[in-house]
Amino acid sequence: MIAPARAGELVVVGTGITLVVQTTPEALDCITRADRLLYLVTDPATETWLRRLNGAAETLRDCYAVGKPRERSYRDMVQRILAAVRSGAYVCAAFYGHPGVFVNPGHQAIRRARREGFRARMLPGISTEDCLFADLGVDPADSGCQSFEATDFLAYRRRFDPTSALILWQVGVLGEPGFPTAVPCRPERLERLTRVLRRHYDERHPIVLYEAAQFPISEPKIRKIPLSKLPATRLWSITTLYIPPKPSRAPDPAVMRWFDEK
Amino acid sequence: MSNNLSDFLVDLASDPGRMAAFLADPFRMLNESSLSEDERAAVMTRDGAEIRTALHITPWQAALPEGVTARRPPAKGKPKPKSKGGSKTGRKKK
Repeated sequence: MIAPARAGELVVVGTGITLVVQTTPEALDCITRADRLLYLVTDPATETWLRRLNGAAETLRDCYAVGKPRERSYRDMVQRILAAVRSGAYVCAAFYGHPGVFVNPGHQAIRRARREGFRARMLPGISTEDCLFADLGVDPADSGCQSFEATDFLAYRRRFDPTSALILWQVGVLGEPGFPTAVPCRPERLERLTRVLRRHYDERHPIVLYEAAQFPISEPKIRKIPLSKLPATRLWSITTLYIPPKPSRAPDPAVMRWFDEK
Repeated sequence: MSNNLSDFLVDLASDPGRMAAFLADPFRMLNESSLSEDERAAVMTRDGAEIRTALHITPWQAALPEGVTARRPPAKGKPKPKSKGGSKTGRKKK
């Protein structure tokens, strides 16, 4: 690997899900010290906090526009971030949650910066999935865990094992690629998702609609319903669907004998 | 004193002592603030959706940064190659 020779550096960080308290000390240090702080967060409170921490904070939100394809918005964000790095500044790009989970421009900016010879790295943050494991008491080590973006899951007919946990992200915005002007949650799309899931689960199989706590004074939203009720449920864009695993099949005896070997 | 709901929430989240005081007596802290009646009511619910509404965040805005990342399937007649671990755009799923 060629050592970066150009002035300018990029660090991509996450602010976590819950306001203020889920930003790691390492990310906080970068946010505070950056010459330029570019951010994309979900709420004005986090924005207020970032602006208090760094007077050079600039939002990337204006890269979004009604009717503008999301891919173009992401390209514009990457260009804004890279332009700041090329100016020779120490740049911090801060995103809601984990900066590498469901954040296309975070990864793209890192790749572009490295290709151009700049030092660039990403710091891990707390994602919705991390909050879900904590709030639902789920350990992916127990029986495995599969995680898909819900539209991707349907469109590409993803194969999965129902004896492992299944997490579907963004289930409230099935097939919405842009910046819609109305809240969707189209029942017919939820019906299609339910039909697919019904091939693997009983209609009474419990599912969990989950929203992490966004504010330190609020609680996570955890709603358990049977799978059959999913099409008639009003879902928001931030809802994550968790499907507990079915009972495990019998283990492979040859592998189980490994535990008795000396 | 907090001048608006964002400041109020950030002050609470940034100061464990202040948070403890709020949890012990939320009415007192709200009465000392300059929050509007609607904002105070939203804070008292301690419900994320109510607070988002008071902050004038739509459900769509709330989802923006983590991104509605749905992608259009490949054009007809060009099926996606099988056995690809990553997404079409090369993004890693986790």
